[in-house]
Amino acid sequence: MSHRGSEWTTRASALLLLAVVVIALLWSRADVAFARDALDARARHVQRLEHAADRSARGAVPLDVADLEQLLAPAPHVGGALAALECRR
Amino acid sequence: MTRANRSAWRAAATAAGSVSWLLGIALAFVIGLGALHEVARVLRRAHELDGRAALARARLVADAAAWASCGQDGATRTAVGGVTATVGRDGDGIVVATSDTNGAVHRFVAPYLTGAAPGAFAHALAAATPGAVAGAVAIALPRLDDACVQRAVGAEATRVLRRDQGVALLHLEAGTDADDFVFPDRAIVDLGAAGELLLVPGHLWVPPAPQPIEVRVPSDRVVVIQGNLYLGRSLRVVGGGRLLLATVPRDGATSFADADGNGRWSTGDRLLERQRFHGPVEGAASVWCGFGPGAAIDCDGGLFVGGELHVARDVEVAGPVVLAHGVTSTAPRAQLRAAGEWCFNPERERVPGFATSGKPRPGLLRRSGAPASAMDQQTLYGARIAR
Repeated sequence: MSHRGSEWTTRASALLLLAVVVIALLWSRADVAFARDALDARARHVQRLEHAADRSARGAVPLDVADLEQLLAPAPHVGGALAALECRR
Repeated sequence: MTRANRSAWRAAATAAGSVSWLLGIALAFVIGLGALHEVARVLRRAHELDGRAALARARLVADAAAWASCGQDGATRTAVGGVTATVGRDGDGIVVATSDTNGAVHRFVAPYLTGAAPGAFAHALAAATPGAVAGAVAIALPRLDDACVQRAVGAEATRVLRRDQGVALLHLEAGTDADDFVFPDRAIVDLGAAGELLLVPGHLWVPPAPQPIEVRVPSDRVVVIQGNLYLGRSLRVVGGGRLLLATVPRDGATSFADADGNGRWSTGDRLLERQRFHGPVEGAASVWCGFGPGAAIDCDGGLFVGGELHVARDVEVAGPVVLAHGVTSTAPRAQLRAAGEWCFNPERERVPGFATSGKPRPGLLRRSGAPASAMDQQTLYGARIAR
């Protein structure tokens, strides 16, 4: 390969590496943002649970079993993004 | 362009290509580390949230199970939403152990309550006589549980208080007819050994002094005074418990509103419950706050006043103030301030010595000696397909 050809190969591979890095960064950012959204939903669910537990602890009557089961049902569509992160780690 | 220039340009371009490589690798390394760090942070937060959710679920099911166990003999088991709670008894308490499908184990204890405490103790200021005190919540007057009072420890038996025959004569012209008690001269008065209900068979005096009196109460205590309370200085409560000072009438004694503040029944005073005055001249079940010289009074405890509350100085009471009648100011501009810094939760807390109502129930659940959760050693999520 000529000297000029080698030079262009070096430049192209450097550009390619940068492009890969930028794509990885964007992908990671999007993934983490998605996980954060899921976490926020989970945090709201946990807060609801904690408020219910506080109310129940202070309350004059026990919680109805049906209400309790509804409260304890898992929050929908929360775990997937985190599970993906966990797997990749 | 000369040949020398062309060579220089070529060399510079080659060098730039190599530097780009190096920069690219360094950048990739830094970005990779940053991404890993962010992922770790998100997972840490998820782990923390999961722990909180497990505890909240356990509390909910434990509370429901504790309620269900009241009125039943033997251990009971409740399973809701993947959480199983087993309830047993430990003396006067309820013990609840929960476990969930992830292996998180929690243990709670709660006192067993025979019913709800009087609702009056949930308010900063409450009065049984409608319209007697501005801003007071109207309540039915709580009553003492006679059986508890009979079992209560007498003041002299505990040496927490001592009889003092001279203290009344120092502050009231003619003294008092009933027995007078004072706290011993110590830096801190310890009510720890006195039991939750301490009975004073006479008047309780806290004479004026520049420094507050400090009373140590490790858990909730009620001092039942079968006479009057004379509070001459601030009262500070230490030790983590709450202190309620309760004045109740004695047999044959009359309560009155002491309009002139002389501490005895005299012309111009107002009878509270009876048509005619009889019994000890100083009456019973009333409270005199701020007698003698001194500054404003801060009382960390709560007050239950079976007679009239008299204020001779500004008085601030941190706990609930429950009045059978009203408040009489015996000095110009002297005012009572019920701060409401703490109150009881009558539905789930005992007020020692006072009669309860309603069904048996668990008291406030408290986490007890929880072993390390098995969940702490597990990954957050099991093998589930990522969405």
